[in-house]
Parts: sequence; C-alpha cells; structure tokens
Amino acid sequence: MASPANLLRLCLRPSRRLPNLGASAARQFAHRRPLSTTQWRPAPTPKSPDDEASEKAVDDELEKAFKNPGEYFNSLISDESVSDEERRLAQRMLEDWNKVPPAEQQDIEQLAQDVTKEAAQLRRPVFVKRDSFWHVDEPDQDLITDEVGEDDFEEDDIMAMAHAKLEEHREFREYARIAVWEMPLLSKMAKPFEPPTEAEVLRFRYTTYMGEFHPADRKVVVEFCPKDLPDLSEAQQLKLKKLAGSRYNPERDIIKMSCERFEHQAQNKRYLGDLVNKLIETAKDPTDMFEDIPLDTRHHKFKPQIKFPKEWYLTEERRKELEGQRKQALLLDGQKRTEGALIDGVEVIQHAMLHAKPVETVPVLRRGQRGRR
Amino acid sequence: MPPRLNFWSACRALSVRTRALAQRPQPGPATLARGLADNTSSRLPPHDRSGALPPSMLPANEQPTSPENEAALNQLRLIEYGLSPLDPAVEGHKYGLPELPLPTDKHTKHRYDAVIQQITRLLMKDGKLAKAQRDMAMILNYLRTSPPPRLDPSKPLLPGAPPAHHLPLDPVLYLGLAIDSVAPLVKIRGFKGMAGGGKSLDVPMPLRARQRRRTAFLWILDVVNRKPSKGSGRTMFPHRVAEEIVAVVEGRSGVWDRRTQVHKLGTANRANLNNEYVKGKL
Amino acid sequence: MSAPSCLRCLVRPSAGVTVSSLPRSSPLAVARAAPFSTTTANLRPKKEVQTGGAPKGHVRSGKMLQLGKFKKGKAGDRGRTPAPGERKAYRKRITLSNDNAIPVPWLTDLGPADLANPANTARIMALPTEVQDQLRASEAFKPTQCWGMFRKPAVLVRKETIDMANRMQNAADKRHTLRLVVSGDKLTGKSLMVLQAMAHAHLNNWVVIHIPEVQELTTACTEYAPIPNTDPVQYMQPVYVLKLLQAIRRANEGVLSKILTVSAHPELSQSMPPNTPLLALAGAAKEPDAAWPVFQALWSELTAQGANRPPILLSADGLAHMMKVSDYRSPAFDLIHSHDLALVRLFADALGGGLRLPSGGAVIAATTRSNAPRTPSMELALAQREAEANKGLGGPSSSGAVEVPQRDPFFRGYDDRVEAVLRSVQVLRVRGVDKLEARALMEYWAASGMLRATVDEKAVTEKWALSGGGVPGEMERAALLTARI
Repeated sequence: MASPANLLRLCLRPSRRLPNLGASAARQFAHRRPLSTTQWRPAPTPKSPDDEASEKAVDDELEKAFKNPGEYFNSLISDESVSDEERRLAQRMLEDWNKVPPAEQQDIEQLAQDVTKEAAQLRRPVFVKRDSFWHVDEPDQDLITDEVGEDDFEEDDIMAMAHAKLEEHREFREYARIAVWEMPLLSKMAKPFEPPTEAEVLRFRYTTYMGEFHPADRKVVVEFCPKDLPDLSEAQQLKLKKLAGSRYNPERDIIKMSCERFEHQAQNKRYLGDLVNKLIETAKDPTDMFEDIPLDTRHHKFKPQIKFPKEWYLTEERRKELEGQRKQALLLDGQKRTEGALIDGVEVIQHAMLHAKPVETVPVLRRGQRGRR
Repeated sequence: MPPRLNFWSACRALSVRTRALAQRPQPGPATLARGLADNTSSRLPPHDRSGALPPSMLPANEQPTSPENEAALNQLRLIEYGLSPLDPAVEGHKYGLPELPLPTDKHTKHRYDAVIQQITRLLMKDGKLAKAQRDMAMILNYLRTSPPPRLDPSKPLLPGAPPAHHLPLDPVLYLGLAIDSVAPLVKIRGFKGMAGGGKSLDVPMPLRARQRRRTAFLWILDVVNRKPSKGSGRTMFPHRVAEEIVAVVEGRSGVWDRRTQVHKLGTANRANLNNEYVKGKL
Repeated sequence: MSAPSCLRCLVRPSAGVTVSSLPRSSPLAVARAAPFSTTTANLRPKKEVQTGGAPKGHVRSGKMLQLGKFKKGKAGDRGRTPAPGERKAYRKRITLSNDNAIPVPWLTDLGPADLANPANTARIMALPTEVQDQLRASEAFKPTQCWGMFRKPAVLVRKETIDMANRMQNAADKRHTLRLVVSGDKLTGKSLMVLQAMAHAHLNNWVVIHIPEVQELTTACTEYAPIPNTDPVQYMQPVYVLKLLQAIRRANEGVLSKILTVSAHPELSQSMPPNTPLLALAGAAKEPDAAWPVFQALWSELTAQGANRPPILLSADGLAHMMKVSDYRSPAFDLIHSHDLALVRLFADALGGGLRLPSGGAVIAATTRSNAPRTPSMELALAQREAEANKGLGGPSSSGAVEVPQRDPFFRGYDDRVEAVLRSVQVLRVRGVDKLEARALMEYWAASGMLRATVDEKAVTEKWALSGGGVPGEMERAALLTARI
C-alpha cells in the first residue's frame, strides 16, 4: 500500500545523516537511562551549513515526490544507489500508483500542488535579522516576528468588552435554560411544610452559601424559651436564666446561643445540644440555686413601649365634658361681669391713676454738674 | 409562620367567639414570636374590642349623624360662643366673624410693641435673643418698681406725655417716652472734600422714627457700657440700662448733651443744604 | 454764642414761640431774675493736667519719655470699688414692697388658723408685718421670687398648704413630730410651701429654726472644726452657727423672750443661771468660738423635758445637699459625710425620727431641682415613700398598679445613712395649681396693676396651659416677667 510511512522513508533516503531509528537504539537508550521519567530528547546539535543544505534537499525531495509520484517512483527504480529492498518497494508503489484512475491521479497531484502553495508561506525560511534590536538574544525562532502589520485590524474581530458582553449573554441563556428545563423538575423534590410541634423546643438556624465554601457556613445558632423546657420549676427556670447571662433576652424571654468552634455544622450542632442539656442539668441541681444573686438584665436595653394615653383620646364623652366646661366658664364670666367682679388690669390702673394724688415735686434746676449725676 | 390550614382552623376562623373566649389570657411575647402550629391562639397581638376606635375618631362619613342634626348642633355651638345663629353675617361661620380691625398684638411678628422689639434687638449680642428678651423684661420690671421720676423742665419730654406718676405702671410707655424724647432729629452727614481745602461738608439730614430711636439707644448703651458694675448676677446690665433710662427722663443723663450738640451742628450747617454740590445728591 | 433757633426742637424764632409761651419755671426765666449776676453758669473745678512720670518740682520732671501721653484715660469715673460682701448683698437683697403697685382692697392678713382652714383654698392672703420681719430675719424670702412687685407680700393658699398646715396642727396638738419632705418639679412652689409652713408656725407662736440654703453647710464654704471628745468625730461650723443664732434671735424674739431656762449652763463662758430668758441665752454668743456650745445649750433648753415649751419647726431648703458626702475633708484627707457635721446631724436625726421633740413640732425639708446634686439614695427613698402612700390610699388607680421602686441591685452608690434618715418620712408632692387657684393669682396680679389684661376664663386657661398645667413659677414668667406687657 502506498502508506505515508513507507513513502516518507523513501523520501528521506538521500539524507543518510539521520540516525537509524531502530529498536536497538531504543533498547540502548532504555539501558542508559534506567531511572528517568522524562522523555528522551536529543541534545541540541549545532547546525552546520551542511545540515541546512541537507534539510533543504529533503524538502525538495518531498516536493517532487508529491507533485509527480509516477515519475518519482520511476526515478527511484532506475537509480542505482537504491538498495534492492527499496527498489522492490518503489516498484510496488509504482504499480499501486498506476492502478489509481488517471482522474484521481490528477486530483492528488493538484492537491499536492495546492497544499505546497499554501504551505509555502509557512516553509519560507525565516531570516534572523542580525540588526534587530528586540530579538538579539531570542533563542526561540517562533517568537521572532516582524511586528509589521501585527496590529492591523482586518475588520474581523470585536473588542474584549464585546466578547465579555456576549459571554454574559451566554451566561444568561445558560441560566434561562436551567430555569426552564431543570428547575421545574425540582417540584418533584418538594416536601410539604410541617411546622414544628410544641415538643420541639429548640430552634436551630443554619447558613448556606448555595454551594460555595464559606467559613461562616459552619455556624449554628440555637434559640429556646426556658418556659418550654419540660419539668423545670420556676426557681429552676430562674437559675437557668441566670446561668445564661447575656444570652438571655428578657424582653422576648429567649435564650440564644451560637457555636462555630468546629469545622462542621453537625459538630457545632452537637455541641449546642450538649450545652443545652448541661444547662438544664445544672438548673435542676439543687446544690446552689443562686437565690442571693439577682437576675442581671443590664446587657439588654428595654425599649419603652409608648402608647398614646387612653385618657387623651377625644371621645364623644370627653368632647361633651370639654364643651360643658367651656359653657360653665362662659357663664361664670358673664356672672362676674354683671357683678363687676371681672378684673381688667388696664381699667384698674386707669382707675388708680385717676384717683391718685400726684406728688407735688418742685422741679429742680441742677447747676454746675450738667450731664453728671 | 401561618397556622396550619386544615378543617379545624377554618372552623375556628368562621365561628363566632363568645365574650368568655375573648378574655382568655393572651400568650406571652415569646410564643407569639414563634407562632407554633398547634398553638391555638392567634398570631396577632391581643385586640381589645372595648378599646375600639371611638366614633369621633372615625372618618366623617362613618359618623352617625344626619344633616338636620348637624345644622342644629352648629346653631347650638354658635349660641355657646355668644353669637346669634340667625344673624346673616354670622351664619355659616362656626366660630363667628373676627372683630375688625384685628388687634395688632395677635400677629406673631407684631406681638411686642415696636419700640420694645427694636430695643430688644439692640440689646442682643451674639444672636442671643432670649437673653436680650429676658434683659428687656428685667428693665421693664425695674421701671415698674422704681419710684416715679422727677422731671427736669429744662429737658422736656415728648409733648403729650402723661404725668410722671403714671409712668411706672406703664413701663412700655416709660421706656418709649424716654427714648423718643432724647432722640435727635437730625444726623450730620459729611460730603467728602466738598467744603473746599479738602474738608468735608457737613450737611444735616433728617432721621426717621426708627433711626432716631436707634441713635438714642446706642448713645444710652454707650454710657451704660462705661459705667462700673456695682453688684453681681444677671440683673447687672439690665439694671444699669434701666437706671440710665430713669436718668434720661429725669434729665440727668449725658445723652441730652449729645443731642444738643448734634442739633447745634445741624443748625449751624443748615445753609449747606443749598450748596450746589449737595442739592442734586440729596 | 446765642443760637437763633431752639436747640431742643430746632424750632425757629419766627415760628411764634416766645419766651412767655415757654414754661414758667424754665432756666431762662430764672436767669432773667438775676440779670446782673456775674456768677458763671458752669462752675467746674479745673481738672489737673496729668504730667506723666515725675511730679512738678522734681529734678527729672519734664525730661522723661512719656509713652502713655496720647493714650486715653480710663473711660469715665470708675468710682470706688465695692467693699467685700457688697456685691453679694446687692445680689441677694430682698425688696418686699413696691410703692407703685396698686393696693389691693380685698387683701386680708393671715391669721393663726387661716392656713389650715379649707375655706381659704384659692385665696390670696397677705403676710402680717411682724411675720414679714420674722421671715426676713430667717432668710425665708428668695430674690428670685417676685415679692418686690407688689404692695404687700402675699401668698396663695393652696390645697397642699391646707393639707400641710393641718398636719402641722395635728402634730402640735398631739405633741408628735411631723416629718415631712416637700418635693416636686421645678418652679412648683416648694420653697414657698416651706415659707408658708414657717408663717403658720410664727402665727401660732412656735419656735422656728430655718436653714435657708443647705448647700452653704456642705459645699465647704464656711469654717469648720472638729468637736473634741466625740467618737466618731463630729464637726462644727462656728461662723454659720453664729449667724444662725442671730437669725433665730431676731425671728423668734417674741417667743424666746417669754421662755425661761430650766438649768444652768456651766460650760458657757458667760454665766447663765436658770430662769433667764432664752433670748439672752441665744445672745450669749458674740464670737464664732462660743457659737456651738451656746447653740447646744439653746437646743437642750428648747427640748427640755417637763418644761412648758412651744412646738418647734425645723425647716430647710435644698435637702439633696445634706443627703450626700460633703466637700469637707478630715485631717486624714478623707471626705466627711454630711451627717458627721453637727448641725446637719441634728437636722437629719430630727427628720429620721431619732430626735424627739417633747412639745411636738415639725421637721420640714424642701428639695430643689435647680442646683441639686444627684442623690440616688434620696431619690429612691422619696419615690418609695410616695409609692407606699399612694398604695395605702386606696389600691391601684386608673393607670395600673403603683409598684414600690426597689434598689437597683447592680448599683453601688447607695448610702445607707441617708436611707435610714428617710425611712419613715412623709412626702408632700407639689404639682401645678388648678384653674381656680390660677385665677386667684392672676386676679391678684391684675388688681395690683402688674398684669395689664382682662382676667377671664380664656386668659386664665391660656396662662395655665402655657405654664405646663399651672406651675406657678412658669405662670409668673409668662405673665409678669415678660416684655409683652
């Protein structure tokens, strides 16, 4: 068969400098590097001008082979430096080539030519500019560019912001997809809500960050009312409140505790449960009931519940009462006016002035010290 | 948490509660906050029906009354206010018409006498009006309690003034009289350089009432601020001002001389009113 | 130079004003009476020109540089500076009458039983002259009160006054001691309550000992000295006690001159045999050093068993100052508790019930809201007494059950000695006056000519409302101490 591997072997024949990639070579290499885990790579050999010439020769051969395979095979057969094995191989390949219909042969040749033309750009040798400033010490040839025309905009792209916008749109669409196709399936997992019963005295609060890992999602908070705990007498409840300290809210009558010492929610919850049990146990312990210590509520500021006083509402009765008072006041005034008992300050003064005897003062002429006391 | 939706809770909601039920002791705040499922009492705080919104607090359209009753009530109200309900001028006015002219001191901005207001503001320092008002009250009280002034005929007060023994009991009049009597009628205004030789030309200009009072009171304050303090406490300054007012009315004050001086100057320079530079600029 | 126009009013001679139209007693007329007089009008002594630096005959006169030559001298004649105590006397002077005020015709003087007579509610009654002198001697009047605006000092007889006077009378009749604290909001008339109690006492010939300002005893402004042979150490305040003795003498002259001593007092420097009038005993102290022993002797005489003594009224204004640690320091530089000051201790013992007055009497103290230190123990004690009294009256009234306030268990500033003193006192809470009393006040003011308004229901209601429900001090501010006359 005209396998590419055989074809390549034939083409690469002229260049005898290439190493013989036989199995022996592999065995030798394995022996030489028993503990290596990395791939073997040849040491970079310094290329001499002979090497470059031979590489160029290889390229030419390849071109010739693919452009006109029939001729190439013929030339190989007629070449004397070719070994028997290779001649036989070339002959077989020539027979295979002749079996192919001529139209196809032409297509293949045309294809080869097109490919060569297209690849010519790539195969064009890159000349290292000796005088280049930016790439003087650059070992990697691939990184050496001309920079001319690099930043030319061929009207074939959009800005990074626009890409981001499209990405955003894609994200929206992704979530829309999820919402439409997958979320309705959640209804299958819906459980009817069963509110807690009277027996469930402790109320736990957990935190989730919807899949993210967050250090605050391990905290568990428990709330309970001392009154709800079973079998606690009043004195024991009071002791429990004293033990709770500032965790007790006297206005709501609730003890609230939290725990985030441990790494997992379950551990924290367990700790809280144990703590509540310990509290109840200590509250029931009759050894010291803390009777002499008053309940400290200094940590809580009681909000004054100010309500509009009922006495201030202007009801019908109050309105009638006020009207009655005003009527009475008017009557009193009228009565006093008729009696002459209504006192008017201005009238009193005028009356007094009319009847007062003015003090006869002799006007004094002050001599000598005018303008001074 | 809402109560459980089931047959029993629905029945409870629709049933009529008797009085006894309503007066069951309400649960404490903690249980209300938790709202348990088998907690039989309502979520809402205790609603006392007896303290329902009184009918007078209800919006007008809900109040139980008829238009005829309303009219009758209005008439009764008018009678109570001493007005005749059948008087066409009063009809339609619930509290009657005001007595015109409206008393000037019932306007917020004209509560105080004009002289008092002006003088109070002249007493004010650093914007402390309350302190100035208090000082003014103390001045008036001093005038009320000081003996009636002995007038000096060489320093006559404003014509039409009441006799001296009437003044203490009307301290506003006392103060106003003192200030208006000692107020100068003109001020001397200088036209720079118009007198020839670089001197300014003195021209007497008339003063309006407020300007006169202001000048007079600033002279009085000048004298007061130079006086030494005798006592202590917050009546020091107002009593000094009041003493100066009494001195003005009795003719002992130095402010009279200042007034005479200004008038002399004005009289001497009255010809300058006809000056050619001045005529057009007055 | 003669002016052609009148300089007073700038009127020209051509306006027709002649000499004859001028008032007759004008200086011009007088001057014309002596036309040939050569006396000049202004006889002013020449002011000596100040030469700075050296005087005239000195070797260096006229040769020294005078920097202050052009400086204006101090404006005006400053006069003499007031002597020490003059400024305080000026500030604290009390005027009890105003001759400009109109005498109120229907004002009657107080009689001995008037303050306890319920028929006198909402009436203004004048203080008799003797009582005025007695109260002035005890410094019962305060300069912030409006005594100086009216012709005669008069007081309003309120419900609270009648209540208090009746309690005093009961105590005197039964020979018990009334122990009362007058408390209330500011300007409600607590000091005036005490004054009325003192007036009642004077009218009924009691002996009155009044401490006008308790803060003078405890703010370390008078001299103090330890009393020897006392354990725990007690301190006396000799200067204050001397002043107090003189006040007691002047206020209770009539009563004390009729009481005779029952025992001799050998510890006094002046010999006081028995059967000397107490007035002489009170006057025995002429120096502060002798003041405290004389006071002790006087007190022992007044509370002597078996002798026929009149009831005693001990009154004080500003209770909070004596219910705390004072500002005095002991020789070891510790602060002295007020109750270790002898005079304060006497009062505190009397108020606490430890001191028995054989002839009965009253111990009345008023709190003050302006200028009072925070005294949690006193506030708590008074609140407790009030709550207990309200509870005892008839159970919880409309606004919920009245709870007796308890000590805050976490507060450490309570004073046991103060609580012991106030454990069983009665509390009289003074509130605003009602409309009837307010009307009486305003009618009195208008009748005196101090209120230029018609006193009808509208005016009374207005002032009553403005004063926060009839607080008398605020009513005075709104009606009398205003520029809106």
